[in-house]
Amino acid sequence: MAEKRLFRLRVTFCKQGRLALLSHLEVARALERAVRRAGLPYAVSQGFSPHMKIAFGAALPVGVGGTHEVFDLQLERYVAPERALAALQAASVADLMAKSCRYLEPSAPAASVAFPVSTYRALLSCAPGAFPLPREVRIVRKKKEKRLLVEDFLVGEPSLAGAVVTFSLEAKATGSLRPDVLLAAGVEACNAGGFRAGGAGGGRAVGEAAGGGAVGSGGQTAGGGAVGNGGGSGSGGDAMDASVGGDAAGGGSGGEACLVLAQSASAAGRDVPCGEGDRVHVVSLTRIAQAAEPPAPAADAGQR
Amino acid sequence: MTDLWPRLEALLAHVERPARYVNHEWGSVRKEDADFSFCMVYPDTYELGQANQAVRILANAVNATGHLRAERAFLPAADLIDRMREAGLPLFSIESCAPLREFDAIGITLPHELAATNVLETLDLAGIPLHAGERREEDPFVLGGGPCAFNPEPYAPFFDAVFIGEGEEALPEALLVLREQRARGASRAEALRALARLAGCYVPTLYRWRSEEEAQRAGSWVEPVEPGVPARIEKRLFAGFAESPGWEPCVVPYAEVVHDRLNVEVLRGCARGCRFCQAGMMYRPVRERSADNVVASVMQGLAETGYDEVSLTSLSSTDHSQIADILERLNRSCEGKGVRISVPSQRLDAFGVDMAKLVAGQKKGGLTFAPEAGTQRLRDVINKNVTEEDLFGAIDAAFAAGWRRCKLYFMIGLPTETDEDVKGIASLAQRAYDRARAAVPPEQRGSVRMGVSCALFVPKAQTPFQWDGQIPPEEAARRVGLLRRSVKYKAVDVHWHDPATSFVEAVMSRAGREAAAWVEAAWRRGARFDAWSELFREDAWREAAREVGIDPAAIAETSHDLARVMPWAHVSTGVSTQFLARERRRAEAGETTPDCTFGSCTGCGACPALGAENDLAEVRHG
Repeated sequence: MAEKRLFRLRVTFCKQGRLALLSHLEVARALERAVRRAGLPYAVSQGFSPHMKIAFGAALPVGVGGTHEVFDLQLERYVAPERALAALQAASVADLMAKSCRYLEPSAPAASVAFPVSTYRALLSCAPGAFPLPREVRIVRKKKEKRLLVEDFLVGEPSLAGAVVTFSLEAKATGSLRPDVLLAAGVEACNAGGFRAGGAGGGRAVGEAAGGGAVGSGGQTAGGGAVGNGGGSGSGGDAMDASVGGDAAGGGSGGEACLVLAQSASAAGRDVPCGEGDRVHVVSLTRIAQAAEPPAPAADAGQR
Repeated sequence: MTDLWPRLEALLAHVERPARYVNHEWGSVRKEDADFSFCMVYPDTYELGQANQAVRILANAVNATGHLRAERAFLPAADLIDRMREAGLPLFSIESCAPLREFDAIGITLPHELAATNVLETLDLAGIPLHAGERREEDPFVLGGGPCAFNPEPYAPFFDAVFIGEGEEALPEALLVLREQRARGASRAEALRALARLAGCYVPTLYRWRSEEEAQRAGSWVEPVEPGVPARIEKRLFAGFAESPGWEPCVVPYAEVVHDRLNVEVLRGCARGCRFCQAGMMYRPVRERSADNVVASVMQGLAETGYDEVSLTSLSSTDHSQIADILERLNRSCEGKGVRISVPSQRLDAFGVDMAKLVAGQKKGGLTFAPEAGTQRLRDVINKNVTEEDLFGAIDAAFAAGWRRCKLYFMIGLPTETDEDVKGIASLAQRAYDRARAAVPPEQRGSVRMGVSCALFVPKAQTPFQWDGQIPPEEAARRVGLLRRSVKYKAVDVHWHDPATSFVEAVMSRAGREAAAWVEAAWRRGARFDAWSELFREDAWREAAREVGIDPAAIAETSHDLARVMPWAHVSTGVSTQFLARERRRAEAGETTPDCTFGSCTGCGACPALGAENDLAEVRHG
């Protein structure tokens, strides 16, 4: 029997608020259920154990949110993207919300490999004078130690604006550096090394981090320890104040905007410089963009 | 109410699977317009409790009642509990993340005999005094219920009130009574006195525990301490079950939980009359939801939850008079959607396998059957009305249809069991294996597997075997050794459930109020999560017995004559004690008793006592 023509719908969604605490597997299961509730004509695989034809983008660790997350869904018949989006939104909770839908060519790269470069934005508890990332991150996993060179993964220069750190990491075929692990190492170095006082400091410090190394390798605990996340939608937390409303829709048609942190954290009241005795901690960590290529210099990392 | 989320969130970065604690699941509701708050608690983790039907049914029933609102709570896993204690964070509800002690009432379900220490862990973590007598006016009312409430005494001091039977109607009624009492400024004691007048409600502080001699003479271990308090508590029955819709709103969890699927209850009660089975006595009479109700409920439930699996739950779903019709209609409706349909508790005959075939599709994992005993003699004693031919017929059909693995459940230590019965388990399993191989094409015979799973018999309150003792652990070990030696086939493997937990189950099932002190002492010595075999602390239970001076072995292992008044004599399932005693005598004589839903009345007493009857959708055909 000839293969039936399927329609490949790419959906972007955000994972935020409390639901940043979900694991990749939990997110995947929740989205599948949202697709079923939405009543979309999803295709089902053949074989012993038929299941929905759905493919997810690169995993986010437990505790890390995302504003431009992706999944691809195969539909048996065409549904106008606006209608598909509206149906998905009606079947979703606010903190795991579909933002946009568009059809792809069947030959387009899979969601999981289409965007190797991820840009992350972290909100810190106060504005340090500087936040140099470590040169190396030590990962302890199943009692085996692994050292990852940050420069192998880092794309472009990290930036610090007030209490907001922005950095981009590239996933490699051999593995990835978890953003939460890198950030925790940076925070630890920051708290230990007196970088808060300002001045670029010399060289990159070596950070240490327990927890899983590669994204999606199954850790069920929020890695690095220091990662929390901002208030959930509706709970009036800091992140809500820091959101950039319309910008976040990213081409979506009208859904609830993701809570994107502003470039400047002034709106969140987090640009207060760290005091002498303060310990920096991470308030939230969010993937704000995923790209096929490293971002062009000077472009706003929040746009794709 | 206080919102603990900011403080909880700070701890969640450090614990396993935080998705259990975040709320915001699809279907989670927070009712606003109500002035009396209730929190439904499952005394174990979210994974085990979220899919529990009592939690869903009762929270829905309360939320559907004016003035009342319900939230859920679960015991966090040990890693979070320890961090919460360090941080001084009390147990919280899921929906509002509010402290349990700020609710007007909390309800803790007692799903099995190993939950007792978790009840204390729940109360302690919530900052609620453990004993009903120590609670102050501002503490929430602590209510209990569920299967273990049919012998409430080992839990009695910890609860303000215990509900006997089905709670759909009783719980909202009780909460309205408490609300009204509070509105008129009644004291805690007065409110509980009012509650004691409600049918099916047992308020332990209003009863004096009698001495052994007194109890045997009076025919009951408890005596009301004031007029107006009933001497006997009859279970509540939800008479509208059959007509009520099988679909009701449910929460769709993020975290992976047990029974993570749509669960639609197709019937309640089972009258097969297995003499060891508490559920079979407890939920009488039998009530079936119609095929139309079930099919419509499943389709609506799948659409509203997004689940890709539905389970048709009950004690014996394949006994439903319209089960074939239900499964065929569901198969047609779900075709091409990747939806799995499952039916728990396989009936042990070729019809059961036909039903399994209807739902299995192409994927055939393992099938499980429960012959319970290895010889026909012992199966007659326990009234498991299943013959070897039924089993072999089921095996032939299953393996011819494509199944390759089969698991057989048995109990060791059933009343009257001899070494011949134990060896009979090995013989039956090996002959079942031979039948299975013969039903399979020669080139596939190597893949045939037969598992034997054994548990120690636990005598349960409110059953014909309630007077029978459990065999001691050494004897259990000897019989299991005998079984293992008797199994000669490599392809037949024997699994053995931990007898230490079965011992605690037997004590909790048969003990009186004296066991409450034992539970408390065990909990103080660190026992909690007893149902998790890796967390079960046998030493804590043993030392606790020494400390409080009770002999748990005597409670679990002593066999009594049928005239003895047992500690739950004041609690009734509707089935009469005379019927239980008659069944026990018939067991001794090897006489079986038929299922009244397939034939005539067997006189158990449930229908007249409860003013109800079996309510079947159609005539059942065996």
